Amino acid sequence: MRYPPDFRSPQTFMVGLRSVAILGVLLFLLGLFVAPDRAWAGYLIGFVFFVGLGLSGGLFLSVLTLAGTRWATALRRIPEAMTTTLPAAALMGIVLVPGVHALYEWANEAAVADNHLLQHKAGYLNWGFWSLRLVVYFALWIWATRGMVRLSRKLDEKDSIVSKRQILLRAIYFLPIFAVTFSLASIDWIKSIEPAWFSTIFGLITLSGLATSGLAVCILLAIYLKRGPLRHFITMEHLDDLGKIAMAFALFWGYIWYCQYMLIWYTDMPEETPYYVIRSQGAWAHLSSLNLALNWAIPFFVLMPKAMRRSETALKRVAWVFLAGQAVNLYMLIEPALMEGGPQLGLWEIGPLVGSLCFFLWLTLRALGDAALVPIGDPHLEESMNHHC
Amino acid sequence: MSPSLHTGFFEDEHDLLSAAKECRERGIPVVDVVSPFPIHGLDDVLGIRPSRLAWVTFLMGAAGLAFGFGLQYWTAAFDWPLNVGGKPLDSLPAFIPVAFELTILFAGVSTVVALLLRSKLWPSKQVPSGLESTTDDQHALILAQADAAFEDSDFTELFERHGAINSQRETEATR
Repeated sequence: MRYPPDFRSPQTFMVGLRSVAILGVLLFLLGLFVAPDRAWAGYLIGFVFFVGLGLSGGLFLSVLTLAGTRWATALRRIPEAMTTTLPAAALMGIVLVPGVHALYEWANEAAVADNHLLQHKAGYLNWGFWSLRLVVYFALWIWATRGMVRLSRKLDEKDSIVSKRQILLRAIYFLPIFAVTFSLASIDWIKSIEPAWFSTIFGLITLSGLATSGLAVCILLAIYLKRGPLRHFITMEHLDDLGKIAMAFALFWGYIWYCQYMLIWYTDMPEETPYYVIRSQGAWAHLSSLNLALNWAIPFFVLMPKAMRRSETALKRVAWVFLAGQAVNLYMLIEPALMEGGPQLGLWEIGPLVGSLCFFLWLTLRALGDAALVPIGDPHLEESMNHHC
Repeated sequence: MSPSLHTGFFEDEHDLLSAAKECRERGIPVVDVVSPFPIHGLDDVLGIRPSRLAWVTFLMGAAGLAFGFGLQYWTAAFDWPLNVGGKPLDSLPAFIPVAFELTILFAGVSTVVALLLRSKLWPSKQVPSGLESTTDDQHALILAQADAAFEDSDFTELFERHGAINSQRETEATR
């Protein structure tokens, strides 16, 4: 068995990523003085984007382990590194706490005083409980993902013994914790911007975006490593399979988007319909179409032929389409209720979004250097390297 | 002398794969490979074209989609206009679920049917194998003699060099 070389990303690339991340922070701080409402909304988009990417790593690790997947063993360190960004995400979440009053109607005392519905929901939707829940979500996510990463790294040590049961247990813990807390977190952070509206599949709407954007980052990192230190470990067969999963999630995204839309359109209830009335008028309607094109139509049809899934260039482009799609998706989930005069795009939106993506990539690339680039102690590594799909 | 067929029996599929690779490099025609399970990488070695079955799936899926929309537009908006909750007669969102299901139904069923027709297979068809051991634990590589200079002993030598446990020769006459 060949060992992969120690990994260090090119210094200039890392400095570039870090500079853009710092620029994003500065733009956000400047925005707090110039246009605080837009700055907080932009920050929320960047924050949810960042958290989703980190959590997607945990989701892939858990699902791949529980499904008994062996082909992906050579890729395993990528989602592991992605989960190590969650403590940074927790810090970003704590920064969001003072912004609650700018973002959420239920945190505004004057608005609650004249709104009977908001008074009714005040027991759940209030500043203190909301902040407490945020801390609990992150504590659980960090605990559950750390367990999976720690065991996997322990396998790398010479003569270490880790039972399959321990590995499975960690993956089993993560899944139900993630399902419940991520759904609640989506409601807290995004849906409660429009507190009178409800949708029972909102957690799946945000999950589909989490999965497509997370897979996009996995694909980009896999290609990056395949061209560099992992050229003997990651093959076209792995990329083909990642492309297939990405195509499935593009369809899942469209399916879930349509499920929510169709039920609200069909029943036409006054408490639900306004959500889509805003999103189907004026410039918002064009953005809704763009959202469907970027997350469902383009990736789904582009990834359908095998030749496209076996082309690094095509896969890279689709991954960027997914990332752009997730940005538009979050913009469409968050901004229509906050921007009353129609969609606006400026430094206050772009700064935190691009900044958080660069911050995420910087942290992930650094974390990849903390352990061997492939799980060298995993008994399925050899099988994964010879994977044929 | 009529062209003869030479069959080598292998216990390990990797041995068969390396033998097939050599045949392809030296231009010895591979008639067929019979194996109890799919051998990864064999398609590439034998130069088998990618299956056209995906086109059947795609085209019949598209046909199912068109049929699904057509059926609903025709029945709900033209033949028997039906007012459902005051919505327009030709409401696209209402037609998507049925069209989606018909896409999958057409695509799925026609893929199976096309595969069976093209392979001339049907349930309960009896297929005499003639190579009984390949239904159990052996893989057979069947080669044809294209060059008179490549004699029987050369075939035996080729098979044995790659670890075949057995080989046999049959001519047009004995088949």
